[in-house]
Amino acid sequence: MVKRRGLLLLASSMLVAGLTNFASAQNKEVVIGVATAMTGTGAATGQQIAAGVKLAVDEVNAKGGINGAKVRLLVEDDRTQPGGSVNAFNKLASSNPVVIMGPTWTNFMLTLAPIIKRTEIPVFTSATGTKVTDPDVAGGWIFRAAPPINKMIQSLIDYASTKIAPKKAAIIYSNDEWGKSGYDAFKSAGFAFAAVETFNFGDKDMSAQILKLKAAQPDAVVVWNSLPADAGLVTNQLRQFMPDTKIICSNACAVDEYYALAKAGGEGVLTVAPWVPGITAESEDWAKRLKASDSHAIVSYTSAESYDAAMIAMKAIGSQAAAEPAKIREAISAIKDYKGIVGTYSFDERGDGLHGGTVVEWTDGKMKPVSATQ
Amino acid sequence: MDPIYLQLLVQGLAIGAIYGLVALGFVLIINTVNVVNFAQGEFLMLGGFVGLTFGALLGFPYWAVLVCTVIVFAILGTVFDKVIYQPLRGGDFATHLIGTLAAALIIRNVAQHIWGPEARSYYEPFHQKIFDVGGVLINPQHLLILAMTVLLVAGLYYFLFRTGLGRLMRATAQDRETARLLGVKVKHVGTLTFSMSLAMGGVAGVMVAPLFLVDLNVGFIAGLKAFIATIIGGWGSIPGALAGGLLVGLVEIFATHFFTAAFKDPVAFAVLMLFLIVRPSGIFSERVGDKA
Amino acid sequence: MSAMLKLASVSAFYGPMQSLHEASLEVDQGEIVVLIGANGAGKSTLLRAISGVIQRRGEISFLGERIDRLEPEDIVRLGIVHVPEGRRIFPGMTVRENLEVGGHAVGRSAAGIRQGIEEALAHFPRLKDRIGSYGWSLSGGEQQMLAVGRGLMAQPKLLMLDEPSLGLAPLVTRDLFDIVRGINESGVPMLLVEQNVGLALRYGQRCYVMETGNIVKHGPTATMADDPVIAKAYLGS
Repeated sequence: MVKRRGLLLLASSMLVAGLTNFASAQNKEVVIGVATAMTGTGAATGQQIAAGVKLAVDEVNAKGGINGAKVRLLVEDDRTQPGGSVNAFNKLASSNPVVIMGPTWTNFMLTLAPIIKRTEIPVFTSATGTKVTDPDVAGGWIFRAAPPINKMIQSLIDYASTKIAPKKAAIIYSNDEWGKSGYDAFKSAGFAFAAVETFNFGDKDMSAQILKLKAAQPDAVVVWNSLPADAGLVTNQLRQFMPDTKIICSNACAVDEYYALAKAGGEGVLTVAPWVPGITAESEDWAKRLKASDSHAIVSYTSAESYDAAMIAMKAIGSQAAAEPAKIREAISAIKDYKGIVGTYSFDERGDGLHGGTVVEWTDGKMKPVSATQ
Repeated sequence: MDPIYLQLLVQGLAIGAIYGLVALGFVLIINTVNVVNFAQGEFLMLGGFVGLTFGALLGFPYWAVLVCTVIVFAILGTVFDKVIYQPLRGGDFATHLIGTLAAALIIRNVAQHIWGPEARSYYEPFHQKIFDVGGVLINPQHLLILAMTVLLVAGLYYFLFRTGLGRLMRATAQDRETARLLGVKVKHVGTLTFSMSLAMGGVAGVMVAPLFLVDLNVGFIAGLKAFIATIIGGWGSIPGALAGGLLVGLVEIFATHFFTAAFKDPVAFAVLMLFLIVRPSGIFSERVGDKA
Repeated sequence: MSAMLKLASVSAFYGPMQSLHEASLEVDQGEIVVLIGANGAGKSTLLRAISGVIQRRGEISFLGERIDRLEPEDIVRLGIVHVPEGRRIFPGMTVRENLEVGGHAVGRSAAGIRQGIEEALAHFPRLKDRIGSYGWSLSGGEQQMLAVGRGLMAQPKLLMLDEPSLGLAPLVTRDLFDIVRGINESGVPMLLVEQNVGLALRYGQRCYVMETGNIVKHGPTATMADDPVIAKAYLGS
């Protein structure tokens, strides 16, 4: 009697355990984290990252997930603070994500780098600062779904030196590492600036600087900063005093937000874009899907790069039997000739997936390529 | 004189007038209600967005945009008074600091929810046109700002010194308890003060939008500069707020001209430090009798 | 004659501290009632309780209506005007502006205010010369006159004066009190708080004595002068 009841109990508990395992195997999910600026001064760009990743995750889940496992997206707001970025990253890491999408600001990525190295989770970023993928920075755990700035700036400088060839140039750049590296790059390439001015983050009135630029009577002015809003502001104020001078701008000007602010003043502005919207049918289709998923989402190179990054990450995860970060890292590194929205990705030993941008000129409100992508 | 100095002067005065208008609102609240409102700058920011909504999105003519902005902010003033500031009254400086900074954050987040995080443009009424007057480039927006500031300040003075309600406001600022004892409805006076203060900030926001863009980030720095202007001009002094603002605007632009942009803020702070050492009570130190 | 102002067991509080204990008091038409007692006896507190600017319990009636639940601005508009201790004129406003505020505060018309100022100046001719001077530049006596004049601007049915003689020279005080008596005789009953017991007994008709928040004695001033309790209060002041 006792023996039979005991056996029954054992059998039923084994059944329950088996069912539970089966259920959790079915409920197995893949966690992808996003640490970005949802609020604060970088929110305009930061939200685009979340939007691009979310579209990718939704599309993959709609097709059944990764090998049957649903993808769960976790978004943490860094409030555009480096400290906030660290907190956001750590919070995500505690949920055991397979991959994390990181912020787009180079200095934030550099701040996170030692933590990424310690945590050993693959991190994707669209930050363009060259240093971000230096081998000693994060031990090879950072992948870049964007062209590094040194390669983009080279194509811009090449074009500007040959096609624009200004007799006299001037520059106004943001008073930070990003701005200074642009200044240094142009200077090393032989641009002798007749006037050099800077502005601080948060400054709204650049007229004093612009008057000095004007006094130098340049044929071209280089504007080098990271926020599209500030680039638009500088362009506006510049155009009030120098309506016809050629403007050469960083990729902060390669977004619609810039043109919406600069308006007529943005016409003819030369810049380098990681991605030019509206060129291919795939881009157009993707843009439609993005808007359909979220009417507030912005179509830009940032949202496109984030989408591609998420898709690449999920492809890499799907190719591995187990969600082991080291294996995922290897899988991503091995990806060559992946056709994304922004371009064709081939990851090199640094972790960079794209290797050049497109030099464009704003024409009739659209970015028009003036030289082929590398 | 090099025409550039005239240009810098006009520009510095115009931006300074904006700081002055924000500082004026700040001082009115301090005087009448005894709250240090660290959210004052956010109303400048909000003014730009409200102006954008009426002007660009709804297509109102410019004069209507200004009128509607005044009305909207007057109403917002009564709302903020009841929701945020009345609970803060009677608290100490630390309470005001924390409370109004929290309010600033809330205002900014709500604005982001309504209008999104991107910066926007609003170039009424001159559409960025610049006039060349004998080699000097004049931006009519600067002249508009200066003219409106003169108008607003004149209006404020008329109200405070020539109307009964204005006298009640001054009386409440000088001795709230006694005013209450005399039958002044001091709560209403407080609400009116907020409405006026916010309306001034809002109108300043509309006027500065063509210069600074309509941007969520405008508020914090403007508020800080208004605070500095108030200290330099004389804490609690109305002409001081304006004078302080103008001084900050001029110092900024000439510092950038003579040094570089990197020195702009350090120079402004150095001037502030100088005042705190040499004349701590500010340009227009209050007469002993002005405040109870 | 029925009581114009009547307090029945009124207590008052500054936060948790009770500073007035079940005080009962009456002011009738036409009288000057004086309230005397040492420093801290609760005299100002009692006036503040009537004016509604502090927490109070108990029944306060004016012209037959309960006022103990009303806001200060309503109590003033009913006709109870409180001229506070220490004059408290607005220092950054002129004599004229101070008077105007007294009228604007209760919503008096522009014509009414003009008339009110004339009447106030008729009571206090000394202020005519100082009409454009700022409050902070007035002497103590002038400030006190201005404070009373400002109070009159609200057309009081009952005037409450808190320590009008404080800090004033004897001659100035005498002039002031003669004018105050004149105002009373023109039909305004008064509740007068005074530390100067001699003055109080000379000008008032009835007297209440306060000690540590309680009314300990009251009666016509004529019979109070020889009372030992009064003597104690006199010595105590």
